[in-house]
Amino acid sequence: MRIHQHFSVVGFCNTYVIGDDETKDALLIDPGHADIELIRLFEQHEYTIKAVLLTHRHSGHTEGLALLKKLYELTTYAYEDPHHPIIPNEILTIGPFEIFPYLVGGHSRDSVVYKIRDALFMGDALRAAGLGTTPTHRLAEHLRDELNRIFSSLDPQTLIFPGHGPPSTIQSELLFNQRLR
Amino acid sequence: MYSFTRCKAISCPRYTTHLSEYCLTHDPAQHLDSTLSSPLLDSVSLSNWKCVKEDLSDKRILGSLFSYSTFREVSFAKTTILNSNFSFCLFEECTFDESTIRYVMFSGSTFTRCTFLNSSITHTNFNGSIITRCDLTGSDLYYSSFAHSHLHDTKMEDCNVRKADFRHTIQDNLSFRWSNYREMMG
Repeated sequence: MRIHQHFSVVGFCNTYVIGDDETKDALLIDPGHADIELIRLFEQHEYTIKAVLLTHRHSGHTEGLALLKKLYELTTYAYEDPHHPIIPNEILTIGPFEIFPYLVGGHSRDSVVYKIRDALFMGDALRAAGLGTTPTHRLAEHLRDELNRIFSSLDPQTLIFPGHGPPSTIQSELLFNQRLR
Repeated sequence: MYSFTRCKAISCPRYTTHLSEYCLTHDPAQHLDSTLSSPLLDSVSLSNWKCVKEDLSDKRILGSLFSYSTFREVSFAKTTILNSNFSFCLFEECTFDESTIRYVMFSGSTFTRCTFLNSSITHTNFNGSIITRCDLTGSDLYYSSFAHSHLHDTKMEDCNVRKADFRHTIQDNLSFRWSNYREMMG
């Protein structure tokens, strides 16, 4: 499995492309903006995009979807999606990828964290050394508790890929993220 | 992309390398020459590596794991490092001048007398690191995070620190001269 990051200048969001070297199947997470660099990334690695996973439906994370749907045949998965809903805590298999979704809420009602092998794709639930923004303090506490519950069940070396900013690991977040305490 | 596979030696907590089923401690005879002579280090796993006076300049390091390693007098000048993990490493007198570093983890690492002159270091995680007598002058630190790090006798002059995170840092003789420090977080 290979993880590629693409920085969307619209909304400053991280888009992730997860590719399988053998089958050339790929997943796309949070296409905030579709530009020539993102399309070149698919073409350069000869990826077939099997599905788009949305961590939540804020525009900064989804705006590239409309253009990409014109170029590729894409199936979009999201929490409460009318056609392809994500069911929390139920493994979703797409091509060679096994995806485990956690519904965390907090930042938005539909915020989902996806675990794919050794990596967590956080959307806006967490940023390195910070917590995602929430409308209320009660929701911030809920989000913190949910993330601590998830982190305590996984290997501390699990990689963390947030919707904004640099990557991290569970170990680093447990050590250096005050908002998780 | 690297993976976290534990060394086969009983109760060893370290990770295997990309060359062996054992870590570098339990299989020290691994031949790194072919890996290090290549201009491209892709999906390399060298956790707990002791790297001294190596020339890694002008290389491309992609999706590689070097956590818990020690780098002493190593040159990463003009090197491109993408999507790699250098967390909890020790860097002494290393040079990263004119390098491109993107989506890299250096969290929990210690840097002493290292230079990162005129580099592009964006979306990179330095959280919890200890940075002493280092020079990052002329570098782009856009969206990089230094939260909870200790910065001593260090220059970040003429840097772009827009959206860079400096919350909860301990700063002692840290210079932001000519940098856009009003645009950073913290």
